Amino acid sequence: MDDYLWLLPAVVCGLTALAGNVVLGQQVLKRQIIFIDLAVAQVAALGAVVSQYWLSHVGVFNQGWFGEMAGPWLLSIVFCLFIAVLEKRWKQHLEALIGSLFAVSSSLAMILVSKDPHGADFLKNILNGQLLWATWSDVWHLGLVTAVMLGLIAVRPRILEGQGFYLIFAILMPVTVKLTGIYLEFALLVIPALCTSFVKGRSSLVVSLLLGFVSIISGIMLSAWLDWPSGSSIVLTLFLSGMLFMLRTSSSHFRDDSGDGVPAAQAVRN
Amino acid sequence: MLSNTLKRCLAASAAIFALPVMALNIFVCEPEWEALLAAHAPDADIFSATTAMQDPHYVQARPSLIARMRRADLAMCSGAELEVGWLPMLQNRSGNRAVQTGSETMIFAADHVRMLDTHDHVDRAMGDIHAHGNPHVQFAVNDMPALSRVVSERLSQVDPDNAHQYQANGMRFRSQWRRNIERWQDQASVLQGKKVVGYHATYRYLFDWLGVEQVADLEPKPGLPPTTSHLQSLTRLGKQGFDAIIFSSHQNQRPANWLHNQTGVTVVELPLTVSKNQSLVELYDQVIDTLVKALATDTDHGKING
Repeated sequence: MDDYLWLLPAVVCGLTALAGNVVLGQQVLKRQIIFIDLAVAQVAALGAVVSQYWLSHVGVFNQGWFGEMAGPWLLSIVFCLFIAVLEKRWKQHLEALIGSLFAVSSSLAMILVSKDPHGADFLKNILNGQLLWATWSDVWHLGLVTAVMLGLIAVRPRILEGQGFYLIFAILMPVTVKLTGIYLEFALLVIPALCTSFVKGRSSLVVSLLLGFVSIISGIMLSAWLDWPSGSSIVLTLFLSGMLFMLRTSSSHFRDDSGDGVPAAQAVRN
Repeated sequence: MLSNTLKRCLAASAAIFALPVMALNIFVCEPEWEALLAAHAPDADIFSATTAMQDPHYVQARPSLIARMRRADLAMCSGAELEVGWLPMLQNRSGNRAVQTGSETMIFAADHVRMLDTHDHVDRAMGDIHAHGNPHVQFAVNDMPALSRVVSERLSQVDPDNAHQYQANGMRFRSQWRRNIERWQDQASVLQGKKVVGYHATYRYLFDWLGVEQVADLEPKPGLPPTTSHLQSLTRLGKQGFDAIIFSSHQNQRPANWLHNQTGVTVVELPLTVSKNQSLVELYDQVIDTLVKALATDTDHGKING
């Protein structure tokens, strides 16, 4: 078993990211702003470029984890506040706008790194993440931020319903995406929430967590077995297990009932 | 059912990670060091992090990299910051003292090669420049014997029982290498004074040895992909300005072909390093053969593959 212990920080990081994402994922679906995840992740990456090229020359920002996160946080908070304001006025076109801003921030990042010999590597890292390189200090940072945010939600659950959601999103997302990469982050946020969208109430959270847990463990094992990049492997297992779960629950639901969507939720609870 | 699948998966991964008990475990960053070490320790279990078709500047994290690094008895990389983007993280994650920088069992080729293009001052604006000099030392032909000596010595330290074998293999490698150097120099004498346009400073050591001059680079700055305006400026060198356009197999061949179409000068594709199970001698043979064929005759301008 000692041979596998080095995978532990990656597993713990994945599970911590899952906990934060499952809570936010339901809101994202409800508000129909699915691309906000891609956009915020990309804006945070743009912030990382800003941190690396410019902020790192300023004393306060050039050392430590918080210095590194200054750029990503700054840009993602500005971006989320902007979306929060627009949500009130321009609701029907919000998703299209978020998608456009995703394209713009990706292109900006590409232009900014085009003069850097390692620019292409940097962009690839943003997409694929570096879950396997995760260390215990990464676990600690991610755990701390996730705990504070989830604590805030636990104390004041209503914060999720209002504009406060965007603030929580803006703080949590840059920290997560730095480790998971854009693809895995998007999958963790959307797939569990999507597959359990017909499960009512609190049990949907539990099912989402369970689904994510099984997928992360099996994804990392698949990656160790076939020597695949871990983030991409988890995206695959997450999608497959999500589909399998939907198939099973809907088929048992057809056997049990003529079906209007609700009995499936009962099938899960039983 | 699930736990059964789990068990089976674990067993499968255990089988993959399981180590042959006797063989020495060696981790190398590039295939050329696999070839060098295999010549000295033919029984060792050698794992290369990159292939001949991969740019060693960048490597995607895969579980096998960490798993193999964790149980390596000895590791060898080019050094001079070539692997700076991933090796330090790998060393850190391995938790293996044998592969930490400074340890006798972590060999950096650049420490034992007379480096070209060292810089006192380096900044990002210069592109992908390494202060310690050009790290593409797989073609530092005259320093290969020195590397062979280091490898023999370090292998003997790790595995004293087979020390005599490592020493004997090293001596055989060096004497063969010296004979080959003479042969290669004879064969390549026609290359003296030839001018080429390269792609990155990949063959800096080879050209330095053979007296070939790289008059221009397809890259505007080291490590930056070729741009249209830069390629346009290269056409001004004219057909008479250089004898060949040289790129290596892992690179994009479009910029070279574009310049070929504009100027009509021969394009030559050279291997970056040894391919699977190829020896260093075979690699040098292949590279010199290809260059001589392309540059010595110089009659028809076409594409020549190495």
